[in-house]
Amino acid sequence: MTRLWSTALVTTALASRNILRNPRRTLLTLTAVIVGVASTVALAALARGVAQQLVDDSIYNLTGHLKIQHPDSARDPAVEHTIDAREESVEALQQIPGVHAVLPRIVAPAVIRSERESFPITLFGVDPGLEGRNSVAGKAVSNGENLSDSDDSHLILGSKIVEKLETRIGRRVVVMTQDIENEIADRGFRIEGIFQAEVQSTELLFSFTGLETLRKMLRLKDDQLHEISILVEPEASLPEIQKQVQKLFPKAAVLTWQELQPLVVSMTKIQNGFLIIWFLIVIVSAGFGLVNSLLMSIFERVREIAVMHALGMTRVWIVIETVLQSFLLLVVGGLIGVLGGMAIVRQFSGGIDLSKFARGASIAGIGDRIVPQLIWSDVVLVVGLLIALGTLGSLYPAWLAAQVNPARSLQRL
Amino acid sequence: MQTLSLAWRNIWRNRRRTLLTAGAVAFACTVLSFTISLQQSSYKTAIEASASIFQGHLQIQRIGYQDEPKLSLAFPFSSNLQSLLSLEPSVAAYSPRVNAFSLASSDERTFGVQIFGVDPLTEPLVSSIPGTIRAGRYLQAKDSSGAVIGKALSENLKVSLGDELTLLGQGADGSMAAGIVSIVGIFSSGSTEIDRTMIQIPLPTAQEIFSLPSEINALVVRSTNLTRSNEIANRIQQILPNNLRILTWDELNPGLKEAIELDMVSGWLFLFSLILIVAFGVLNTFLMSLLERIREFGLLMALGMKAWSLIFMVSLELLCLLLTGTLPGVVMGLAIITYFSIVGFSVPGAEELTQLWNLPAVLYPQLNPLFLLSGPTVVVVITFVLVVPFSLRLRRINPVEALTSV
Repeated sequence: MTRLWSTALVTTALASRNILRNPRRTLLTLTAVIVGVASTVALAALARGVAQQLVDDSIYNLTGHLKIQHPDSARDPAVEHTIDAREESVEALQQIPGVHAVLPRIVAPAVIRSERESFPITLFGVDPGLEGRNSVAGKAVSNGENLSDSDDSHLILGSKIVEKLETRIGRRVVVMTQDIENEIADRGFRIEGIFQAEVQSTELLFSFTGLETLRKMLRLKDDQLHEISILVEPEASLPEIQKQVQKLFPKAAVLTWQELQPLVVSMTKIQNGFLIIWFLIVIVSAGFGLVNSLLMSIFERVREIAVMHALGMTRVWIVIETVLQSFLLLVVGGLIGVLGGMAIVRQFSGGIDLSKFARGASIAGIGDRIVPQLIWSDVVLVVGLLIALGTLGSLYPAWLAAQVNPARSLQRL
Repeated sequence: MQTLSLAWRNIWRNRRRTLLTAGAVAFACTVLSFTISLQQSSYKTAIEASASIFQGHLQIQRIGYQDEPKLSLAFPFSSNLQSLLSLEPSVAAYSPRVNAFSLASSDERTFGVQIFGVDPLTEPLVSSIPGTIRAGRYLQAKDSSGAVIGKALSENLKVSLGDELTLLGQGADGSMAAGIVSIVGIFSSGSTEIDRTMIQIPLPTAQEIFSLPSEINALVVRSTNLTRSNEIANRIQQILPNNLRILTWDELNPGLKEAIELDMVSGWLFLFSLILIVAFGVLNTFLMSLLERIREFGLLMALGMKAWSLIFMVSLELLCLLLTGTLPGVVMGLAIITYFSIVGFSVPGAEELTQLWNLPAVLYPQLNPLFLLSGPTVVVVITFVLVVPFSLRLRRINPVEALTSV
């Protein structure tokens, strides 16, 4: 046992010294590994940042983690598709453990009209106190004043639609929609505030007024709502809460954000697949360089390997020694690469400005600022794959080293 | 020539090393050729799809209409304009349109919709919507109060073939515009946005309802070649009256253009990091081969070889090494693209995503030498940039010292 131990120690010492014998070559090989790992870690963080922003934005843009709505309203957002939301059931929602916020809303597809232009919008009747920090509906306006309460009869519009309507704060606009009796309902609103959103289409389509104001305009009853959006605590189990909510609202559809935003889910999934393929491509490319430089070091040391062989080092230990060389290189290169990647991510921790591509980013559903997000499982996966595949690849030069014939090699110059 | 054969022999002095290095280059070039071709083809498909559904390759509009599409920004569709366009060989077809926002009411529902007045005869030449009628038929020349409507909109309005819709909006002169049309066809264009908001009616009917006698808002043009649309637009612009402008697809759909640019920038970030990794691998091999031959270089110089010829020779070696890798890489990339251009490329689970870009679920990548070669070219250039400072140091070789070095 002690013999095995001492052999292992000697082999490790040999491997590390062999790495340092040609510092220039080692440095170049390391550089390739470091560039590979650092760029992969940084790019993965960037991709994760985009995905996270996509998810956060869609939740913040009125989806919430869970939404209670009429089973048909996803297909046909008509005014009569309401849910039966009695006060006691709404209050019971708040009692469910893990529920952070309960946001009741009335929603009407409408047409907005200024003196000059008219556009289609979606008008949300909200409770500004509840929406607060939980959604874009409660976001502080960039201009003018926020809604004060559910009875507030003013209008909050996105800055983009205000521009298109050629109107401004304090002016009146007419909103036309259909009430519960299918009669045209229109009324004048004063524009009280203007909000700005991450995604341009939000500024164009969403507008807000008080919940009770819109209820009156649509002639809905007191217990009628179009949707209740629910936000949960980060550590809570969404499916568990979904089940409890469904019990309280047996006739309504209770949907998670994944069900409401399949596009976001499929984008995230595709990105996952893409990232793993990318990790492999980078590692294989870096692996070629590694195997090559190992091969060089073997060829230079053919005589030396022959001597060690002649002195009694077995083939197994020669293989181990060679593989150990690449393993040490990979660990060191991987670690420095991860540090480098982290440094790059930190450099951009303030976010990357995409405003030059704002309209394009809006199509893809992302805002014009992306904050990279380092995810440790990505880092572990990159470094793990690198070390595993790199070590596997170095078996080839190791095998060549083991083939060295001491008698013949020692005779050669 | 002699130097070339010398360089070629030199790189094969260590076969295994050259093969491994070339292997890395070949692998990266395969990835690059394939990825770039796929990416560029998908852009082209997205542009073509978004242009041919409804927008058209080019549009002639009044100046300012694109930024502020007001009904009143219209121009006469004169026979003069028509004959000018007919003379331009790159114009495949053109069709006039009027576009107004209006309320559409059925018996039960009311929605805000986009009304397009179109010419039933020429519209099918510039837009794919007439070909996507799912029920009924497309508009005909004799229709006066017929309308075709997007499928999602028809469901939301709860109407079917033969039902009447009341249109209520504002005329070009600010007056109240009202009309009744009956549904003759329901289309499903594949674009959710269009299917949920669009109604098409005959051009004269639209001009009457919205008080725009014999004027139009846009003349949609299909050119014979979408990629050359800038050039075609420049030519047409010169024959247009002063108050009119011709817009290309990217001006009509700046969002798509920016999305493509954004995707290209992020795509190149990934590809560039791959190129750097491979370039470092090549640099490594190349430096090894220089360092182990210092004695040899000293000998060559002692025999009268100039430092610059030496640098030229090792540069040729590098080029040979790179070409040994890039050529098989490009061939492999070509093979993979050819394969997918026949069977089609699709990512499982990406249906929603492709629909967002108006892309078909199965993409057929294009074989284009530019797409195929741009990645490998960058590999060669970057590697040379990395290597040049090292090979320039060969100038400093002193034959006497070099010959005595180990």
